[in-house]
Amino acid sequence: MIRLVLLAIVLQAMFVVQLVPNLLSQAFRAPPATEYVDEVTQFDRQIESFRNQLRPDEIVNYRVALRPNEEIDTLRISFDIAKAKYSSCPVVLNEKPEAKNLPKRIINTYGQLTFKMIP
Amino acid sequence: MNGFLAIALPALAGALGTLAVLSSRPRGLTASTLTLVLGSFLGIGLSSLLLPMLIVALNGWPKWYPLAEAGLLLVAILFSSWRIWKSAVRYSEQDLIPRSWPATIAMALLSVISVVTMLVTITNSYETSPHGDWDAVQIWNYHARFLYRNHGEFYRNMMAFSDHHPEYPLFLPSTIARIWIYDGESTLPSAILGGLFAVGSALVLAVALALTRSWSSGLLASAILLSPSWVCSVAGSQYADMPLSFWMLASLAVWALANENNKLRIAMISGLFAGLAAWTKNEGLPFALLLVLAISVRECWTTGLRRAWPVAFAGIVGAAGPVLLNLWWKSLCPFTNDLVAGQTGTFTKLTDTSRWQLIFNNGGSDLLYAFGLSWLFLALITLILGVRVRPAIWGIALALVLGMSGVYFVTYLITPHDLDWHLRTSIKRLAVHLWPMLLLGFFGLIRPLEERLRSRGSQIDLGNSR
Repeated sequence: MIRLVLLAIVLQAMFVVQLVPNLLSQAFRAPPATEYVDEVTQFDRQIESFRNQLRPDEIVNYRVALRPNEEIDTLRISFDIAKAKYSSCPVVLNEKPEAKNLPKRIINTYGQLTFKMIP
Repeated sequence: MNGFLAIALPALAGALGTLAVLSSRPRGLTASTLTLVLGSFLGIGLSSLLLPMLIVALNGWPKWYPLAEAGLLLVAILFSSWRIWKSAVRYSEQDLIPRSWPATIAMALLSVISVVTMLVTITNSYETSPHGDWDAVQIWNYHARFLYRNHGEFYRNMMAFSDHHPEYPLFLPSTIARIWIYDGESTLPSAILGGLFAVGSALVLAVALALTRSWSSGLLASAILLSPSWVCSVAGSQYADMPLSFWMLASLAVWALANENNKLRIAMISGLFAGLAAWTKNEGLPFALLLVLAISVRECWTTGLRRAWPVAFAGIVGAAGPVLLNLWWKSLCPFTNDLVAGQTGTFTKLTDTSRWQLIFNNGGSDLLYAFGLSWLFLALITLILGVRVRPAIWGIALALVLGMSGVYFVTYLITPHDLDWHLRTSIKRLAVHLWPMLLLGFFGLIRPLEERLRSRGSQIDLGNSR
């Protein structure tokens, strides 16, 4: 019987010290503000808005065109470029056969959204 | 709705298929519950194997993929139902409901609070980071997008970026991509999968221990499993750590269903779960190896070498499919794993005592942080209930925890990354992999409350301890 009582005390301690505080800290956590948009979604929207600005003939096909040999310093720009890659269209590449000499464009995400030509 | 079908169909096919494979004799409802839970996750795991192969073979997934897959799964459901019907399995209800009401209800209450806390934590995490935490954005959900977005050889572009670990196993990306193929792209499935596997771990732990020890042991273990806030936050991070820990637990819990007639089938399913661990994270590869080794050694110890070979072989056959698929995927990638590629001065690192010290120091403090008061409660429970050492499969759980800790220790010793950074960013998550197995082994050795009270001549009928 003593063991049952001791176990009941341990279970109550677990309930009071660990389970309930965890539950309360989560249940009463302030929700994010209504206008809150997380960083990844924000960047996704930025990229989509950029894509919407392109002329239809510029969006023939798009793919990630960075290759290991032409990679810029990914350590230096890791997070921004990673988010760009995550958004799946950091590089807009006109792949129409007749347009193969057009410059490739890469979105550079430093500061504001811009893009530059790769010769 | 379609996204629900992407999970429900393979889960149902897996549950009924596993029940059909293992239901060779009359069985209790507790055993059937464990079979159904394990089987449903097995179905979800196996359904993730086909998509990457199809994408590589056809340069993208064909439009008919979801329809064909759903059709195949329906056939599997019907066939398994027919097999179960034909086998005329009789169920007894006597062992489903525990009779040790007061103690069991108290522990069930704690268990429910743990699960609710975990679900609230996941909801909170989803509100602030719907794409998940760092690794989820950079690795798992990122790979899922490449598998899902079907632009010809799009998946190959994923392999151009070494810093996103393209060679990593694909269980989570493939499962998320499957749901998107059924229902369109959304951030919700990744979050739901984290919760599903966490609840699955608690359920499997509770029922496996109920079947082999007692309901109070099972429910108490599942309450402790999810009680540390760190475990809940890992479940909400959308990382692959929670599914990995589930596969590790499942590969051992399935042995609760073993008997002399079905041992080979259990060994094969156990191997399959270990293979799915390897298909989820690289840590699963050494685990699959250690699991097959552990069940072979145990079988050799208990029945002799001659009868151990078939069990070992069945385990290897079970694990082979997902492990080979994982290795095949790695062979397609132009990059080797960062831990392998960056190896220099390995022997010097292995013998550098300052690295040993750093690992022990960080490991100790991080494990204390991650599981907090749970260690204290486990120690008190041991003192109160006592230990009953007897040959059981749960001894293997503790051996595997030790074995995997050794693997992780050596990995840290030889890591090419800055050791302090590597420890800070990963050791607490690695501990979550082993936490359910540790609890399974621990409560497998602790004397059940019912047995302890009965041995003292209690007049209370406390039911079904084994």
